[in-house]
Amino acid sequence: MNYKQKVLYFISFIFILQNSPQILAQDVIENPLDTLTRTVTNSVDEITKMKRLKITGYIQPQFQYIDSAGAPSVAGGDFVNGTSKYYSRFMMRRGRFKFTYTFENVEMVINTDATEKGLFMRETFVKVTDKKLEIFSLTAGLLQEQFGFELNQSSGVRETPERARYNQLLFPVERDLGIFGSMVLPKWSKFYGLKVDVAMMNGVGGVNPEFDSHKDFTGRIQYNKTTINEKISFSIGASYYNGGYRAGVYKDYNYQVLNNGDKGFTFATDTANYNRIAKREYIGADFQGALDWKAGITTIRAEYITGQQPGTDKSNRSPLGAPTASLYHRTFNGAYFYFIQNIGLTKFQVVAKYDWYDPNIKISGKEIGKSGTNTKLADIRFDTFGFGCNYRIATNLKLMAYYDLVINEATLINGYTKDIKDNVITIRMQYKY
Amino acid sequence: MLLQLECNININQIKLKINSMKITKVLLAILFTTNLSFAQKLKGSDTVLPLAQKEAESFMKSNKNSRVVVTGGGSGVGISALVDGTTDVAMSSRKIKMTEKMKLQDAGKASKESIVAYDALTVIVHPSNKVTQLKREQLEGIFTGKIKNWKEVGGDDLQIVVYSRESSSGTYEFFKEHVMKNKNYAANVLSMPASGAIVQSISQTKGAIGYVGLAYLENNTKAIKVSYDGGKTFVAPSVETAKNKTYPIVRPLYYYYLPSSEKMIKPFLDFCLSAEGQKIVEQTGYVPLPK
Repeated sequence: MNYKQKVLYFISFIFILQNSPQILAQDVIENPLDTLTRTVTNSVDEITKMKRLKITGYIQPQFQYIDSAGAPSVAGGDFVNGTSKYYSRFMMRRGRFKFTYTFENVEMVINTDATEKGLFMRETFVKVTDKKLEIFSLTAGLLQEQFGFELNQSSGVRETPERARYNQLLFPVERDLGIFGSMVLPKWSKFYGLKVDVAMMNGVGGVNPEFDSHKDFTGRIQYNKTTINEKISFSIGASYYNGGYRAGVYKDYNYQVLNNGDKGFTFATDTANYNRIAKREYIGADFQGALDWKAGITTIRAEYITGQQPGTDKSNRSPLGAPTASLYHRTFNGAYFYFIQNIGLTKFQVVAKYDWYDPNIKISGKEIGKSGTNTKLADIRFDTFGFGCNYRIATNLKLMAYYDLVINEATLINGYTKDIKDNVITIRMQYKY
Repeated sequence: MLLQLECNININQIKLKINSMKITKVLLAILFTTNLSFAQKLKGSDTVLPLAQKEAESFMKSNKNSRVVVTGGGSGVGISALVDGTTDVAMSSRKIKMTEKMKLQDAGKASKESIVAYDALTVIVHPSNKVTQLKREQLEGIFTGKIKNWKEVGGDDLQIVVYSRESSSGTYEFFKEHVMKNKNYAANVLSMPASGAIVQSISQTKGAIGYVGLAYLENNTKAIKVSYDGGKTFVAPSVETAKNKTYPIVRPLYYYYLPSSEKMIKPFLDFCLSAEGQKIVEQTGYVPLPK
């Protein structure tokens, strides 16, 4: 082999080396299975990240009919008194869009309500759960009120169109700004099923700013149990609310038996202290039970509440801002009862509900509105009987037909000397996602 | 050289793309020729998975026009899929919970239940592990993190590596409830997405321990004898010991389905409950239903 041949062979060798994919492949070509594994792993990582954000919610378009124009109602708000007979309406009762971002032990929630009235913030909070035991959690922000069962139950799963009247008047927006601590005992605990909640809130409700610096306390204790065969479950709870708001320059009226023997309100002379607090104090108990049997799942719920509530002469509703009228201090009570029966294994469910709200338990009937007693609209008791049927058209789609038979006590107040016509029919469609 | 490298990578990417296209074509062909989109879908428990697959294979052999597609993921995943309407049958290694029934009800659905077999929950370790038996209390200690080294239970001086299923698994819940007496799993327990992954990991890790359904027991892992009477008797998991009820960790395996799907899935369900189906149960390492 001469020199030229050697050089030629060497150049050829280098050329082959440079251009041979098989030789290079040993270093750089990835096994297709590894490529697939890597791609899948990357995709799983991406999906895991995306799964941290959940978007849920529901929309509730509905049609309603009331048996007199312009009647006040808690079935989605008062009915407007039109120039002609205005008995019905279409409305978007709720349009909830909830964004939940969860990473490890921290959860952030933004819940909005989009209806024809506009876009409203319902909840915005951050929740931190203890990492070690997963027993304790602390939530801060714009939160759900923590009193009783119905108040906390989502309107997306409730079997009736609205909450009981007393819940709507005592907790008008169902939310408040503050902090909320919770303890849920784990399965290994002797007291598994026990849940304790405490909250400290502004007491003003919803997104309304604090006006008096006075904070309201809520405590709730709950115990739930399910039988081993997963056929029966029940839950009992007790709640306590202690709060109030600054009365300002407005006068106080307290209940008492008047000199002439009538029951009514008298002006309290000690109202010179403008920083006094109008007390809100409620105590309640609740029960929920479910039985899975041949006829389908039967659910019963009951809740009772009593306490002190300051209001005006026209309404016993909790204020959403500083008071603008004289305050009337009343002792109230209220309750509701649900009976819900799924019809066997069908898509139908029937519901019966009864609730009452007596804003002033010390006075009733024709005693209300009597001259010189200072008793007014806000002292009238309402009883509501509700009947309905739910048909689940598809997994996410529900149709509800519901009738509210509302009975107020007959008083001496003009317009309320007998039961007013304010029964409501609601036909609602709900899409939940 | 760099240019050459890029060329080679591109060539391989093109090859991969061509392969992917071929695979896609084949899958599409299978889809169109087999009416896969109209197949009965079973989803859920990884414990039930091997049994359901075998039953499905045999069923499809004798029913040429039928198609049964089986996927795992865990009992919770299966029941959730039943609520969402993405499966016809939810396979579960635990009973459906009241909360899940309420979710079904809220979606306008209700479930029917059928027990198709029983399973002996098996605790497995690496084959080289000296430990052959454990008391329930010791298992509780290991999985809660109180026992950290094999020498504490008669083994070598070796750190214990604990594998568990994810919380959506019925096996996870059953083990927690019946073996750990509802105590919490230790924070350092490694959660695996499937029973097969547990077997594979344990076969490759000397100090490892985990639990799977008996059907997952292979030669590359070792089953542990278990005592539920404080160490008086230790029983190895097997179809026989599960049948004669001497093995303490046995549970029923369920199929849940909607009444509206009953007509469609009845032939397959009847097959699973038939003598032939129950023979497959035993052959696959599960415990057949009592005759």
